[in-house]
Amino acid sequence: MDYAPFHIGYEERQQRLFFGSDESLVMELEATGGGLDPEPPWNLGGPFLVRHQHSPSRIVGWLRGTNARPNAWEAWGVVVSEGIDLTYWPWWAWLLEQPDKDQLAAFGERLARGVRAERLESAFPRTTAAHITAAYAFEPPDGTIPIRITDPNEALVMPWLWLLGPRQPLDASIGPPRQVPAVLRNPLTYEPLIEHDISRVRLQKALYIEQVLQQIQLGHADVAFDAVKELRSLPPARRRNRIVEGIRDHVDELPEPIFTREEKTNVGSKTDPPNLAPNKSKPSSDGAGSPKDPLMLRADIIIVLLGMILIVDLIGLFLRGAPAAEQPRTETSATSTTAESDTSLTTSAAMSDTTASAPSPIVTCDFNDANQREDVMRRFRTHAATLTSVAPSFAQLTSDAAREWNDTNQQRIAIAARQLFLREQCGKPTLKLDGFAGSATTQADCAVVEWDQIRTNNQAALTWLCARFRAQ
Amino acid sequence: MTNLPAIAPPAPSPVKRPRWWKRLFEKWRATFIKVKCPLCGSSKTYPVEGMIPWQDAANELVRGKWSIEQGLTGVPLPPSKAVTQTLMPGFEESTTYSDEEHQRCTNCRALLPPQYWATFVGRDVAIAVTGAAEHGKTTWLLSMLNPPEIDTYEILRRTRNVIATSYEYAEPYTIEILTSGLRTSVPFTMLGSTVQRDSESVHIRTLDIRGEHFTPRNLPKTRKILKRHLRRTRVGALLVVDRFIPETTAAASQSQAPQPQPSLRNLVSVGRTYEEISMDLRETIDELWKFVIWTFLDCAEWSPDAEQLLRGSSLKSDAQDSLIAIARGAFPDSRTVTANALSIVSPAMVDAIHDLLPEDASMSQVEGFIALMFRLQLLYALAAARSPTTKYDFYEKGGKNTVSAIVRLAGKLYKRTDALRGTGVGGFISDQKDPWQVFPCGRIGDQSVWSDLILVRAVDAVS
Repeated sequence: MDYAPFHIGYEERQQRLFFGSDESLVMELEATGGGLDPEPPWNLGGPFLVRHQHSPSRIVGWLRGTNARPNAWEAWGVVVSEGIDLTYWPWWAWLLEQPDKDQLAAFGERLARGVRAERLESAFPRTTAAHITAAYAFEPPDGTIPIRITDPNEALVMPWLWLLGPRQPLDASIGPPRQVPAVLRNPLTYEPLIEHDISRVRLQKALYIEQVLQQIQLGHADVAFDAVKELRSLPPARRRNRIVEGIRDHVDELPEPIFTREEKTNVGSKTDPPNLAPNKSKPSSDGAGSPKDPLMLRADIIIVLLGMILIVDLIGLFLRGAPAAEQPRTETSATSTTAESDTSLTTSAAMSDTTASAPSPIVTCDFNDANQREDVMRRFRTHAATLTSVAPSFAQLTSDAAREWNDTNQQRIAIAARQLFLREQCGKPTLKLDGFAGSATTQADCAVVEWDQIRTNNQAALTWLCARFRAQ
Repeated sequence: MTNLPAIAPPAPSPVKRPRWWKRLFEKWRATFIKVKCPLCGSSKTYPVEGMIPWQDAANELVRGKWSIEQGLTGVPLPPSKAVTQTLMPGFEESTTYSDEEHQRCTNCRALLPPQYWATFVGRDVAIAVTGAAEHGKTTWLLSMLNPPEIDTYEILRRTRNVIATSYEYAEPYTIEILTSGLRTSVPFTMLGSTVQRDSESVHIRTLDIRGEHFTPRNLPKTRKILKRHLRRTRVGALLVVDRFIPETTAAASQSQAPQPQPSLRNLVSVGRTYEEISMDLRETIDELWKFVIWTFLDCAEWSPDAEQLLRGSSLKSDAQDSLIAIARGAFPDSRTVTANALSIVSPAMVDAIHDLLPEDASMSQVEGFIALMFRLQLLYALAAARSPTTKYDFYEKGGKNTVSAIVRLAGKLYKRTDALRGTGVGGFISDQKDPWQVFPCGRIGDQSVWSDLILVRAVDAVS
């Protein structure tokens, strides 16, 4: 057999192998399992992948801390032999979420047989793209790449990071979230570290990898596989350039792998979107990330010229006395050729919800800016006129909608709407939602991230949402 | 109450005495090579300067040979608060003299307590302790090495005569971290403490070994480390911590799984290893004790079967009534204890209880007698505390006879308990040429009971 399921837990006052054949796994995972947070919500743990200490095989599974005794832990997963290609692991990661023997066997079987998913069921956290881009931007020549996460569900970023990150998956290892870095003889390649202070985590838009992930999530499986394959086939330097080109100007300012909330739309990549289609020839922008590329230089000149024309137009408009307040508010770069007209939520209510093949512009905002925050909330209230009067039911509705809706963008809108509401309400001490106000505050802070994910071509979904809660 | 099935313990296989040339070699090596680090066998250490954060120290350890010698893939983290707040001695070699000197092994860079390397005035004792997880090994060790805040139920504690102080580091953790109840998964931990008795000092080197390291796979290495640990000393002790499991808990466990607990499977292996080591080292060591530290005796409950047994004895009826009242009642404390209860604790009474227990006693009867014995231990400690002299003087003037009688009773009860649960270690240790002693221990709330019995023996031995 090419794989062997196992489950280790704390019972009869010791760490025991519940099922599996390799007793040495208990000792082997002691250092990785020790020090995990056993308290909710971080007791969910997370996926891990490490190389076996005494053999070339690898251990893929799930690890979490338990409350049975300080430093007790629970782990389950499969030990897979060296020859097995783990490329498809992130797609099947959902099979690891429970210590179920049948599920683990199914997981191992799919890895061993290289089974491709027909429909890609496994979703990933919305911040996945940002974290992957951060890893590329931060990447030190060796050592661990820390990933700062604020939500237990973000632990699911790790399999994708393992697959799409800057290090070769063959050698890469990941672990579950923990408060302080693990002390291991073979340090983890990517390590998720719990960050309680959400204001310290800055997320920056990562367009290229976002599009790859969108293909994975929404597209057909074959398209996704080929997108990943193509990305992985690029030489490391070129891959890195392509992924970080949008944030190239900021790389030097980033001392650690965190992103800025101050939104900067990736102008360069918008004008030169990556080709993710499987049957097309190599995209012309392959080398676009290289600063010495003559094609890139030419594109830069064109963009600058277009920008100058736009500025001249704006100056002319100003001189003719047009009121500045009537201009649609947008945080996208002035040099963007596609985004500016789509960013207003108020002007595109009738816009159809088309799943565009071309990259869509992204609504951006900065909640730290009082004016921008007010602006977005004003737009939202335009649709959600009964927001204050039906507040509790609204929160419940959006919560339910987030669970029930199948469409990812609709889910995002529901979650964002709920979190916007929470953000508005969290300053009020009497707010009781999800049991305690602290949770509301945390979720509300996430609104910035969630809101960024809404694409304007899903305006119809937003309208639908508003109509729905008016009926409550 | 149903009795557990009695399983005959496996017949102990004879332990062979090593060949003459091997004994000669051991003696020569002990004379000329002073091993300081039992982990890697190095005889050289170096002083270190400065203190560094816990995580930096742990990172240094895993980069070196320490983790390889321990067989670890890394250092299991303590709680994050401890990680950020704890400082450990550094790794840089010190060039200046300091009063608070720390030394590390030159080879594996393990932090060695002073008792492992310093040239002290006084005697030294090397102790090796092992036991299965959550059998109370670390709790007992810390109670023994560190004077507890409340020591009412100790044999010698709260006395000016005997004071124990321990080295505050047990790498990779500190004593403070261990006291918080952390599950330590480090295979070999070195601790050090010094017991001061009047003007004499006894320096105790303690090696804490995880019970899992007595499995066949790890046994050769464990045996080697144990020998290194004991080779330098004249007085040594090999201890195994075993937990008493009440009948109700054991019955529930048996109904789920007919096999003995996995944690207990290694006990015979531990016993055999200890015997082999004592044979190997008999040329180089003056005294080598082997003890079972029997913990969690406070969980035992008095039973009707035990009462029936006591009623049928030849003891006087008022003595029977007193014993039953003691066994049935709550744990005696210094406020509620009566003079009558204190007077009942005597060597003769304990010996009578010892003789009363039949060889084929049921688990219910045994558990009842354990409950009674534990209360007698408490009464002894309370009587010592009330004595106008110090506890040590009380012990010296007759108290030691009572303690010895209780230890004998504990040995009999342990043997029978072990025969009933079927691990075979009770038979093994009592069938040895030099039978092991059983030290009964327990806890009441935060207070340890009789955890300093080993110190009594250590002080006695080196006096």
